Amino acid sequence: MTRIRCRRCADVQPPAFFCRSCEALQLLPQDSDYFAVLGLPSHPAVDEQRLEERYYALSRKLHPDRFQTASADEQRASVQATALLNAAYRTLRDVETRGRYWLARCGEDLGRDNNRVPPRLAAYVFDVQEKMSELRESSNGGAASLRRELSEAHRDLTERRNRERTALAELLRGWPAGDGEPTARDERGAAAVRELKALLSELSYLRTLDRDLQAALAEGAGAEA
Amino acid sequence: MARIVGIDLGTTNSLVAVMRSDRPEILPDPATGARLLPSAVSLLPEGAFLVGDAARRRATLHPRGSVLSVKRFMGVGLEHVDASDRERVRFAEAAGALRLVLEDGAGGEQQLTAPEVSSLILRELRRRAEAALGEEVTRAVITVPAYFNDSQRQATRDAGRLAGLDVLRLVNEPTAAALAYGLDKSEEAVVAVFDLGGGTFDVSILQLRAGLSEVLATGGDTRLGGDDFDARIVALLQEDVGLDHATTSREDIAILHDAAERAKRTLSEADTARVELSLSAGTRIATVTRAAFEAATEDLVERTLARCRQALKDAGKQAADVDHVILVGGATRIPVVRRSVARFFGKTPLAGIDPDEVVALGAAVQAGILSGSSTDMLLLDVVPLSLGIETMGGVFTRLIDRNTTIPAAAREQFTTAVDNQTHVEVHVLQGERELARDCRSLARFRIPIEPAIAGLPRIEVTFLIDANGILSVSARDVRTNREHSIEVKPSYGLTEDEIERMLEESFDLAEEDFAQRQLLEARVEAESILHATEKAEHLHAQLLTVEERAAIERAASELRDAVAGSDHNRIRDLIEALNQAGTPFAQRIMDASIKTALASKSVVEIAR
Repeated sequence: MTRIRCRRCADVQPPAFFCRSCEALQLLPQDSDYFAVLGLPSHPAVDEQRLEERYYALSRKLHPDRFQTASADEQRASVQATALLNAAYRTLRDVETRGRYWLARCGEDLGRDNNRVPPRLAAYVFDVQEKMSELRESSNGGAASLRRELSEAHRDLTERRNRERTALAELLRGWPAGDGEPTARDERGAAAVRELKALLSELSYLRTLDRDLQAALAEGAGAEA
Repeated sequence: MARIVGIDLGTTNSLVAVMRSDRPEILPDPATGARLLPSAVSLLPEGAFLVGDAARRRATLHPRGSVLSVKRFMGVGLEHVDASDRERVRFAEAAGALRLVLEDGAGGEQQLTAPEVSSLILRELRRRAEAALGEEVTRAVITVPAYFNDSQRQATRDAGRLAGLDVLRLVNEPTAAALAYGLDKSEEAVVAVFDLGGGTFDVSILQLRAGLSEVLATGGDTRLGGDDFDARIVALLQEDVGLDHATTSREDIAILHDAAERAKRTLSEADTARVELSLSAGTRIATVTRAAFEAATEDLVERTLARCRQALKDAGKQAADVDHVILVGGATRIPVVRRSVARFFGKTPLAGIDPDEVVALGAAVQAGILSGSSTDMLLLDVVPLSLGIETMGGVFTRLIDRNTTIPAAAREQFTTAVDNQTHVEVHVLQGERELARDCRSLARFRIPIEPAIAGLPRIEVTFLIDANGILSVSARDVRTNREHSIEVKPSYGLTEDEIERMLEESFDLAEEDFAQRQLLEARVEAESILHATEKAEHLHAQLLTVEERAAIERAASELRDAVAGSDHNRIRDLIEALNQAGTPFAQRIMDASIKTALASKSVVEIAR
């Protein structure tokens, strides 16, 4: 675990916005641990209410509005600190961005796998893409029923995304943490990382598909008008 | 400690307010009691500037020497002005910050940037505040449309500096409105702020709880406002009196615009508006019905609702989740706007505070927060447009998404593509489109690097958006850990050198001397009545008796002599005398034009 030295009293301590001894505002690097700066346990299961409370409480103390009469140096520190706090909150509040952040903590990333169709989605993706290309090729006359099908596919897609997000939240809730490590060094830990990767790449793929589907629907509506 | 004022630097009107015993208060003009300052600037033949109401009246006769709605030109370049802008203002054909050309009416002209014009308005507000407070005012909070991009925000801050004001904070107008309502202290609620000003439209969705206002999402259109509704009325008026838009003279357009604004106000109360038009071809009476007005502006209203839909979606909310709707901006007085907003959100909007004043009052509240007097409140605002850089192939790569809470930071590493490069060039943009050329260019800068083989240098660039939504950039060489200074060249803004130079060349502002100002205003009014009288005599000579003509000529000639002098009271008295002399004549012109108007309508219409 990284430690920092207080800007004012030189006490060496775990990274936090305010020094634990003299309460001076600290200049934390923007890549500081998001869980640590928010004062949350280092585990991907986040209590959303607690996260929100911590965020608002820290905002009240750190925001540049509170440093209007402080020195230029303190003002800069406050802007930096609030930027870091905002990034931490934004990342941890959403289950997908939190999942990605945790995956990086586990030393993994989606990498090249991200561009391939996730195996568990292959049949589904193929089906939706075929419908979209049919809509694109069809003349205005035959498009109505296809558009209905696509709208249905879009509803279905939204449901599927919600199911996957729920599965992701559950996975993170029961995450097998190791002793001082993000993940247990056993088969359970390895399986969890594999599943996290799979869910994240599926969600990422579904998001792209959602965007394409919405674009196709908007285009179809335009062609009809 | 000296007080911090809150300023609403509006497209049509501007206001200044301050906190007084825990309540925000508008500071009126101590001389006239006027609360609104029209955002109008006019250049006089002597080279001095007139600001406010007198400048707006002068604009009718001297459109080439006056600027209205200068806010539209803040932080934009020549490529962003359209045909209707060019109809109203002449621009210097030069790249970079837009330059407006004002003719002084005596053969001379001056080129001013939009921040310079705005600084004249700010100086007048500052003068008002100083007179009302009896102390020097040097610090201010200024509001901007939430949708203003970085260049527009920078331009606003520059205007403040040029007016001798330290701009402590730029606050988004809708957020300021929510602060003015003080909703933040009392409850937990989702609030939608619908702000239809003179030239811009903003909608923001806010979450309020325990003194904390958090902006969830914001959206809008910097090219949609009350002016567009006026333009539709102008078209209806032209149609009604049979004028072809392409051949209407500049002066007639100004008269039509004036009448359109009057008609719009009337239509907020009545079903029909009749306005008198003193056009170059004669006086006409034109009629606009509310139904025709609503049909002609349906698409404008729909555009505002589409932005509301998007903002709700970005905020992750439904219309039904919204607990309160706040109306801001004079154009929200238009009944069809009010009705449509109420229907869209399914609730009656709040309108307890004057929609023209609510933003300035909120700015004063934020000024109170910054001065440390209201520590229980805090505002968490967002960046309105995504920010990023141009990458290979002209693609826009986002670094900070729109609606990210500010302050916000993003970091990117750059390297070189060619051996021994001495610098890397970075192009910063703002917008929501995929290609760099479709987004708004904010700045370009070069980062000097140690020459090395291609791909070896690692330059880490950090973008930091402060609490004003303004970007600053820093760079570090990762290998040497050396900080690099960056010279940012704003695409449409002013450089530090330009601002320094402008601060040195101070303007001759007519308002500075109160007696001088009263004289100038009286002259403007005299000029406009003399002009109107001449025109009427010329056009309606047959309606004038010999005695009347002689009386009017005498009064006019006396007034002309007085204008050459410097006694403003005498000018005022003679304006009144000329008015009196001309009253029966004006009445006859009016009667005659109503007859003409009726004669041109069919019998059926009169019967109705």
